[in-house]
Amino acid sequence: MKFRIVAGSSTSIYRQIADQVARFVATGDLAVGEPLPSIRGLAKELLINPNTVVKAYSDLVRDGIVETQAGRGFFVAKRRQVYSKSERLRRLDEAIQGLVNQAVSLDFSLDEVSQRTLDALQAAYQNISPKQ
Amino acid sequence: MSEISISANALTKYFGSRLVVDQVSFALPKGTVTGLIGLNGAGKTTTLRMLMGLLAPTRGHCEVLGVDSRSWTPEHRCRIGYTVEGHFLYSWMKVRESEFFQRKSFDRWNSVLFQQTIARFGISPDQVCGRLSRGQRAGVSLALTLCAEPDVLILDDPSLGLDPISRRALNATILDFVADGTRTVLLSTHMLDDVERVADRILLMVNSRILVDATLDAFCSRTCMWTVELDQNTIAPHSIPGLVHATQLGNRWQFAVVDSDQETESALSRLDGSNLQRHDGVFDEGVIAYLSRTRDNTSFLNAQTAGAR
Amino acid sequence: MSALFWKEFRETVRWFPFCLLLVVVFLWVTVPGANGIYGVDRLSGSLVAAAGAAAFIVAVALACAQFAFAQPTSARAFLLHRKQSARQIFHAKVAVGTLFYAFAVFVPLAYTAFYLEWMGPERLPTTWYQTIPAMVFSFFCFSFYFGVSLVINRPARWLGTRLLPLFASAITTLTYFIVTGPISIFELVILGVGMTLLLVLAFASRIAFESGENCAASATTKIVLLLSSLVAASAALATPSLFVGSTENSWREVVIDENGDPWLVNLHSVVGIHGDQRTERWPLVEYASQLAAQEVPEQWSPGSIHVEKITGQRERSWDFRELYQTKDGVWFLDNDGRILAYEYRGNQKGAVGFRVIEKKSIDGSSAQGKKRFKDPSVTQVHIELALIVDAQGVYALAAKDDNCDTLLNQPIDAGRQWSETDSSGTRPKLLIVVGRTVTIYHLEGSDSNPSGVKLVLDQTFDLENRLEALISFVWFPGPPNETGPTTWTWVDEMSLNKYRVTRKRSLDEKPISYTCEMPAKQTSYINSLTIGSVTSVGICVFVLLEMVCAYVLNANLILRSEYIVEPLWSAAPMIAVMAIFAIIATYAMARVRGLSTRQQIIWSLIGFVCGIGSALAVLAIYPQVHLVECARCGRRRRVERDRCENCNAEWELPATEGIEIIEPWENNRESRELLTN
Repeated sequence: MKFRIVAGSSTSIYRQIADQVARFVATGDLAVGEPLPSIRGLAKELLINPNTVVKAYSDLVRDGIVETQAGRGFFVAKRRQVYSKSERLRRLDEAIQGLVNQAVSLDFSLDEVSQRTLDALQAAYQNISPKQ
Repeated sequence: MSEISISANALTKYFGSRLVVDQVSFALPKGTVTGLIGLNGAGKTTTLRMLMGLLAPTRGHCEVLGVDSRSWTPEHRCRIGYTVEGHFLYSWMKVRESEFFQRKSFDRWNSVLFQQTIARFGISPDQVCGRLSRGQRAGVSLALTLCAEPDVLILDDPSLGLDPISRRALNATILDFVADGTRTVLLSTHMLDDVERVADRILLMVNSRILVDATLDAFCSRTCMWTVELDQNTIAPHSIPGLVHATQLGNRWQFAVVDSDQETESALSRLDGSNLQRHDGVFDEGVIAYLSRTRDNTSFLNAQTAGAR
Repeated sequence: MSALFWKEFRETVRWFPFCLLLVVVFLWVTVPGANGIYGVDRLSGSLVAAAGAAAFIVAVALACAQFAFAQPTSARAFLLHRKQSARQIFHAKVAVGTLFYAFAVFVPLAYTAFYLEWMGPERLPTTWYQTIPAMVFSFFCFSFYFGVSLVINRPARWLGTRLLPLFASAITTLTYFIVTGPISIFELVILGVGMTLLLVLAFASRIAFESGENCAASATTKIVLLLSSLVAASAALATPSLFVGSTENSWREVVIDENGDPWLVNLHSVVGIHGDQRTERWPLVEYASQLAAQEVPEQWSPGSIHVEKITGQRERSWDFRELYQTKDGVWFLDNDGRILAYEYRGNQKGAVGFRVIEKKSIDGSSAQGKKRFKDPSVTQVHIELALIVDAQGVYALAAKDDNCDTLLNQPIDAGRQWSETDSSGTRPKLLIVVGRTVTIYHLEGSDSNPSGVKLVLDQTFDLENRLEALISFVWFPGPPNETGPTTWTWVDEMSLNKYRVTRKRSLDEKPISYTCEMPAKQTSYINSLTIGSVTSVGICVFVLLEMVCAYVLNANLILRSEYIVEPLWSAAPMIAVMAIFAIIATYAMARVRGLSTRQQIIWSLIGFVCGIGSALAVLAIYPQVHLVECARCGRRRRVERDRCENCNAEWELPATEGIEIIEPWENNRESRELLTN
């Protein structure tokens, strides 16, 4: 599990951290109940302001990926949905729309796109399902 | 103890008839790192020098650690660390002698920290200051400032001309300094990457005035960029609410907008362009949009300039 | 504090060899030779020049070490940001500077002492108070260092703080040059640097007066700085006048006392600022005998005389021949720099610089005795003719081929006195004064046949009228007075000056003193004063001070010395014009700087006392006032005041542009708690 951040990119630093934590959780690098790196430790490691890590972690808490235990730190949370059904659909649609835009503009055929999407989805769900 | 470390209240400075700092007010909380950003000549150094009590404001006042900068006692001054622009050192002194000179000039002195810091920059104590590289000079200068164990650190363009390794060492040093959350840093710099990494607040100075005084998060969340493909060469600036800056890149226009809302979006769609897109929270583009206002304040207002392209 | 002292010491010591080198070069260049600044006739001025100028060089060099090599803004910030207050830093600088300065100034002073003790003249009367001008000058020179130390402790800009003094000094120097005509480089330098001094110090005073500028100076220091800048500048400005006063009409005469002993006497036509009421003199014979067997130091050749010519350079030396008469006969001397043995009262003596060409007896001359004859020609032409006048008649003698021939032996009326002059080159003219009537003869006859020369009446005129310019110098003794002092009168183109020559005798009948003083009473032939007669000092300064100088010191700062007039009131219109101009200029500058009415009046008074320099001081001391239009009442208001002085309005915040992101800090307790976990 290795964080990598780039300053000056089009994604802000706290977003990069949050995304990476989310990905580690998604890929199973971070199991449920496992602690996240300490705020100061991570800040020191990445050479960034601790408040940025705080911001990333609190975004993760808000999204329900991570939970905080008073005085002990941050831990990967059990999966639960903090969003309503319709909100979840809206977010999914938004992401799919982005994929569709790219696919169309990059001039892929429908088969190619659906095949690759399906493969990626299957790989992801296979990783998750045994742990559930 | 007060939660505010550094504050300015309607701080104004004229040099002759030139207005250099125009009624600047801000308050920086304890335990934060603040990046002061602005183009050369925006008034950053003048502001810092007024904060340091080295220059009398024409009007207004400023305080560091609760004492007006014009009435510091020598003891109070010891609590504030300051690196001057260009990392001045007496060129005839050895590094060791520089340390001796500073050690005698401050109440507290941490010799171990000095050794550590100069080691981080790869400097031996027997080198003559005049022969150090720019990065090494910055290292000595930082070490001299930090070893006095100040409560507040004010750095005037410390990363100017530093190589990547020295810049990294500088960032690490600053983060170490604020690690315990009781000390405050005000950092004037042109390095947006560094600010994005180490700062949690920014002060953006444009044309002698502070336009942004907010946390990094607030700045990123309140500015956004829109791009649209458009055949026009000029844009009426007041047609888009909250427009910071517009740049033309080929047939695409990029708009930096503050507090983008429904009204902004409709104003942008009224431009009759195609492929309207929004990007959020990009720090350096937002900063550059603000800074560009000084450089070519009229470029997108002036039909002739734009039409000539 | 000790670390500061260490740092300043290390920093200054790096430049100190350079300072010393400058001083040594200065002494080496200026001292040697008869035309060096060490002259017997202006010892006091020499001391001023040597010690003062060396001190000045050191002060400037020390100051430059502080000034030219510092990065003003960052170095100042670095130095000021420490536990020591600005005042302590300044004191450390001053302590170290004083140390070096004292040592450096010790060098020329020690040199001067050494010179006077071992190399200089015997019996040259030197008193402690002659060194006062040098000491004062040295003392005030150092304020340059103070000023510079202060100047570099403020953010300086090249165009303002640094170069302006140089521009001003250049302009003043140019003015001085135009007004006075060709003058020596040395005076130009002194004047230019003097003006720089004034302005730099005034700038230093200004930062001392600027409030809140983290200045190092207390109120006392401020006042001392301001005063010393004025005094130092005026001292520097007055320095050329010291040289003018002491060289312009100073010459040496061989004078015979009643024992027939020749004395070499220094005479001054002008009472200099350093008070030459007492004349430096030494007995020629004794002096000569002491030095007879030795090499004569070149610079002590008594043959060099400094006289101003209107068209030429200020200083000129030339050879002269001298004829004088003792009981033993007539001595005809010239000076070729050699020591020549001669017989005096049966003893062999050596004469310094005077060669006895011939000793010739004249019938009946011994009865009168004690007459002295002088050829004060201002040309390079050697004297062809000398006249001796006594009760028996007029004798004309000419030097030909190292011989002295009698050309004329002509009886005249008793009491008539003769002198001789050379008006314009080839034909010497002779002048006889009887009472108020002057008769001029010229010579006719061939030079190749001296015995054929005849005196022919040229013209006669009365001394009541203004003398025409055809006569250069005329000397004549007053009416014989056996009891009282003899009065000698000197006439030149400009004025009639009288010198009273007195003699004192000690118990053992040996002459012990010889004074030659100029009475305060002088007769002036100058009625019209023009701008050209005003000195450079007069242009710059001293309206009230001038009157004090004129009456207390009997010195004149405003007018060139040939224009010294009595009473001074005849120059009053010119002084009044200068005073009014100074007052107006100072008042105008005070207004430009936006001073209050009371300050304007005070500065105008200072302008009246100290002259036009005060206007410059106002400009330098007070910062420029910047005014902007008031948003409420529309009138101009000062930017540094919180409220408008007209309508009492506060400042309005600048208009927002609608893009500001101002999120004042609020205590985000939640994130802080997370962070402290």
